[in-house]
Amino acid sequence: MFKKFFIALFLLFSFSFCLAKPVEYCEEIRDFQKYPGGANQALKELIIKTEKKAIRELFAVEFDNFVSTLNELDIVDSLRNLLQHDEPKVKNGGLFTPCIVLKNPLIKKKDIFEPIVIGKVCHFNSNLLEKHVNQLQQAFILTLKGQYKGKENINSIMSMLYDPKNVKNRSNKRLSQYVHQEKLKSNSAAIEGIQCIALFVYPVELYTESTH
Amino acid sequence: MLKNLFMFAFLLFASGYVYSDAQKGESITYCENIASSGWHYKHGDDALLALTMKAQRKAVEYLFENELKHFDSKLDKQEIVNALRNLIEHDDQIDTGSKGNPFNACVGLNNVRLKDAQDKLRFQPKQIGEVCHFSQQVREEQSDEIARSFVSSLQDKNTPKSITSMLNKPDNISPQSEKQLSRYIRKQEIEPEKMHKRIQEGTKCMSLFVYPVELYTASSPIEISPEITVQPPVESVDRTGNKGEFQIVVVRKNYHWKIGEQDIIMKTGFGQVNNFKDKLLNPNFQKWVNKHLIGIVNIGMASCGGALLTENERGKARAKKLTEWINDAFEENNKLKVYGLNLGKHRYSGAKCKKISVKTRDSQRRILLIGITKNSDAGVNILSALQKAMKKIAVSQPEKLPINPRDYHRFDFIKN
Repeated sequence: MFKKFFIALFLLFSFSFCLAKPVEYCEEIRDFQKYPGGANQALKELIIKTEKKAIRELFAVEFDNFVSTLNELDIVDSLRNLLQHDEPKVKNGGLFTPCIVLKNPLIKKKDIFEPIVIGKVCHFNSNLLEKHVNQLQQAFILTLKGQYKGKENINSIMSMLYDPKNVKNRSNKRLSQYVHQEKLKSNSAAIEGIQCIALFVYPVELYTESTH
Repeated sequence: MLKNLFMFAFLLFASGYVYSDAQKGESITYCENIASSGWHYKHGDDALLALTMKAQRKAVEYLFENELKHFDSKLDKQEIVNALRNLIEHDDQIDTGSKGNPFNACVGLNNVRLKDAQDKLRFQPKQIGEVCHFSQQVREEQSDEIARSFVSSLQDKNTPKSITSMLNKPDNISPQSEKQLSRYIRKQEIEPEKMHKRIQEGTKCMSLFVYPVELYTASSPIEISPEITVQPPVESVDRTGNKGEFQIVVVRKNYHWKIGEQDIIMKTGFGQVNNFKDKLLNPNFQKWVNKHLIGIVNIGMASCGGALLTENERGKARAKKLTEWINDAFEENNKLKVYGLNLGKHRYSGAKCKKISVKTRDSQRRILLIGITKNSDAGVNILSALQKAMKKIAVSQPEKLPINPRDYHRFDFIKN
């Protein structure tokens, strides 16, 4: 009994450890032309590359299953803002190969890849269903841009943005690509022919969009 | 001897078993004490029809006992019970007897059952739409729109099958106004169902549903008594925009005015009806009028034979006679406004008139009333709104009106 408990504890500990393991990035630099700012610039850029590597490792599962209209590099780049780590350490990885080590990498909003349902409509007429879906989408976009006349706020989504001001100037069409749809089964007590569509967003997409 | 006795007992048991197996439904007996219930049927057939109708209502109440007990509706329970009579069936054989009381008149319905057991599900709510959103305003706007589209689909003759299957006679629903039909759409704010995705905080759902039994009732003509049927309400507006809501009260088509007379009603195959006023005293009709109407318009008309002026006058006299009977029948209801409407003589020319059958000519002298419901605006101009309502029905649903007002020479309102 105790043995099993200790094994479980050990596995749990190992798993946490794995997540918290330092991220190391090494790059062979033989030509400093690409870092005209010299060692300082090279160091800064190597840290950025290490952070990106950390992001990819921390969100490895999420990236594997995530399909987005956004470029993955852009997402990784913007997610660096959510990364926390100890002071970067530089170590020698061989001749002309400096390495950056980030200890205790940690993500502040681990659930940023989890979709959030922002609305749902069920209707017996498929043409009208589409119209309602568009209306809900527009209401969400206007809320996102702070232009919706309603009183409600969407703090949980707004808090997922890097800078809400950045989405205000985006076109509705551009933002609408971040509102996804999923067909759902209708309620068993619904009339025959009723169809349901849920609208959802991936906070990570909105976060990325609001980064620039 | 014993062997024979056992054989007999066995046969008796077996035959009883077969008999009870055939009797799948219950037997329902309805009795009325003719001494105390204001019994007023002079013809046996009329009495049998009236008692059968009441027995059928009792059967409906029995078969849908649980459903009716727990059902909360804006509709009158009796209206629902009446409409549901279409969903039951029973053996043709009707036993009458006094059940030991010589003053009792009884009708028994054997093997009473539902035509389709699934009809009980008509009391279960059916979702017609749902909107989930974090904004209350969006929920309300969108759900209102879904409700409006459902109402439009009821009014539209290309209604989806899933909706028409809830109705008794879809044609009875289409002339009803948006306001009338939206009464049957219920809304309920509910928490969103759990999903495999996170749901935006503050999200609530507005579920829209209907009770098929209400739509079924709303689309059924209401058979008030064996002689009187009421059509579902029709709404229209007068010239100033005030709303009038009307229900056509149809007396069975075998009743008509006697040719050349202005105070005698005939029943095809039975001759003169001396007790027509009694039909207006029918307790169900009385109850229905007092509950739903603020006024009655009594329509008088004359068939195509005879001189124009004389027949136009006859139409007026018939409207006045009907008004007199209604006034007498509802003398205790001093809030009920009673009007007359003279349609005058039927427009068929002399030559055409001679060609038509007696039956067709009889049908030009129908007995027709229009109920003005309590949903009408107080200041409505009855004549103007009624003219529009009748035109609307005559064009879109001629089968609802036993006559077409356009086929007659006059449309003269007679104030009481």
